[in-house]
Amino acid sequence: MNVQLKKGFLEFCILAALCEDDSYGYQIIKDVSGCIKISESTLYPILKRLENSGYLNTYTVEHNSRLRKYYRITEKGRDHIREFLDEWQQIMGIYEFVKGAAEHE
Amino acid sequence: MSKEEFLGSLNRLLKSLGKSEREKSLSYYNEIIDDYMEDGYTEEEAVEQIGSPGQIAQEILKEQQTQMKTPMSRGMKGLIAVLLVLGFPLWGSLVLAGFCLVLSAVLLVLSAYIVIWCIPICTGAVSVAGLILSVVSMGGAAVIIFQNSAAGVIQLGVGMSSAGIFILAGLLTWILGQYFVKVTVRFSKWLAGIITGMRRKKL
Repeated sequence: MNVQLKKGFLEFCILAALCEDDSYGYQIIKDVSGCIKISESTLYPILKRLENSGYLNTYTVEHNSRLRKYYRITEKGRDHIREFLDEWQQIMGIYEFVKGAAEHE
Repeated sequence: MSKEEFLGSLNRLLKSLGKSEREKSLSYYNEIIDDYMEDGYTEEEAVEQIGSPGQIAQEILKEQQTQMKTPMSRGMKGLIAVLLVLGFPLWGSLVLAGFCLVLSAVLLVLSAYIVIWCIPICTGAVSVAGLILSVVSMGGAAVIIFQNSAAGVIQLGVGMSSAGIFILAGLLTWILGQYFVKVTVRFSKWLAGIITGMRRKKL
């Protein structure tokens, strides 16, 4: 998939992975990988960006005598997902337009 | 490669990053490697899954650079506003000087146009004066000539010579006007040439 498109979609996949319950890096990769391929080094900057934008916040939990960083989606993050879903009609419109143009060629 | 080696080399490669950013990245990869190992991978395999420290460091540094280009934080904006206010005596005077420079250039150009048109305006004024004088004189002569024929004839003569001045000065204005239109056009072209030349140099 186009790198820019993938980057945009990954953001929402990661937020979606946090919708049901808080999660941590390794688990997020596992969950998201079912839908779209993501590596550890790709996840890290996106998590950072989402945190800076206020879409998620973090806390640490002790696990097997080591620390694990958990990510929790904020209300703003949920709004962000909703906006994305609302935009879908528009995205489908673009898809149809491009497809129609390509077929008429 | 062991986890220690991996983190050590990542730490070295991220030296240019701030301490807190560097530690955040290291603890993220530390945690992921531990999670891999907990999932049944050996230490070597876990590190292998993640990739080479060089590649990872490059990605982190690249991301850092693009983040710096993204919109400034509110604090940064505030700082810049304060600096702008405090620095007003410096940049204010510079702006004022620049404004004065532009203003004087505009005035210079305007005065050049005025100077160019000075001569035709003079002859034009003489011509208009001649016209007014001749109309008034001849009108007056038509009245006076019935009361005092000598004064009336002189008056008529003045009127006619004024008409002559009007016609001569008018012709001169017409000829000079045509010539000075050419001069003005040439001057404007020269000026436009200088300005576009300056713009081209800037580009």
